[in-house]
Amino acid sequence: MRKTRLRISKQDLHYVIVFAIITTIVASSLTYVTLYPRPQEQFFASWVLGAQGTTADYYPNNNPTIGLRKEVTWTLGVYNHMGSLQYVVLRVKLLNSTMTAPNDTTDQPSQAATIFEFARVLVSNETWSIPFVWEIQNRTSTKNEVTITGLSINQTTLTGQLATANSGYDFRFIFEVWHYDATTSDLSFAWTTSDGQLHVVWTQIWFNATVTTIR
Amino acid sequence: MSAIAAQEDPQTLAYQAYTGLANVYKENGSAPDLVNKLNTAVELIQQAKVARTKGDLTLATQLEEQARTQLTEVIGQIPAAQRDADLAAANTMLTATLLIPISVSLSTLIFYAALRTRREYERLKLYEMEIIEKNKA
Repeated sequence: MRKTRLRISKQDLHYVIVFAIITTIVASSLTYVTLYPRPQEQFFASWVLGAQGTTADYYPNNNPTIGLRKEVTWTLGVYNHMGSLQYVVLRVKLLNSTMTAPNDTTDQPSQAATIFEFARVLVSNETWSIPFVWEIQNRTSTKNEVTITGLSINQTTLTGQLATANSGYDFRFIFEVWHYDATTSDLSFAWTTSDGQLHVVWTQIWFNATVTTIR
Repeated sequence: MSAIAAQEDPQTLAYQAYTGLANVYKENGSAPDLVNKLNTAVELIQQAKVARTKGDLTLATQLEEQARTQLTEVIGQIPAAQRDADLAAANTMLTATLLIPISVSLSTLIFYAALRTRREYERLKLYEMEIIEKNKA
């Protein structure tokens, strides 16, 4: 009698087997999704903030014409959303309006020389804030052109023919985000996303260095 | 410090250290202390570059030497970090693999117990009805 009661019917056995199969599929899927999550979108982001750490107050007295030895304070930012550890180099270039900026279509950096650079290794999802305090220490002017010949960035003095602009108008700092590419063993400006597309990131900010500053 | 490391360019050593650490992080490992040390070395290299630009070769050499020392330490500790990452990855895989049969067995057992309880309830209900029918007859 007892033996008969403990025996499982053929129909119930089917139910148990089907349940076990479904549970196996669900548990395996959940484990796979946990172990191998869907690759996230890969990108770097960069920005420039003003003296108060906001997207305002970029120039002293809100005047983009920067006089000699007038200190300008910005905060540069880089965010790593590549999903991996990244060796990031932020290259600073000084251009005028006619010099070629980085090209988002061909993913080429600006051909202008790097005047300063910052480097840091960022873990995934890390944000890097860089104080960028600069001032024009020297400049020369001819009839039509102004050349910046002395610049201080974070108390480091740079000298030479750094950039020339017509009447001192429309100088610009360009900040390019580079990263170390282990496959080429070199720094690379563009990165390849998981869908095979190339991307670059850079920021620019304009200023004037006219000889007669507007007050 | 090894003789090879002493001769190597600190920038090359920094890239080498980064590549090693990137592999550790790729396997879901973590080595924040080594990353911090690498960043200290990277900062020293940047300072050395600035000193060299200014023409202060003595300071530049000193800073590069400090960076080289830090980087040699980082590179020396990467194999241990890599082993830890491998072990952690293997443990995660093992735990996940074991969890599948355990959860399937447990949930199937609960389902079977519930099914048995229902069948027992149906049998008792039938028995009860049989008694009522017998009494009516």
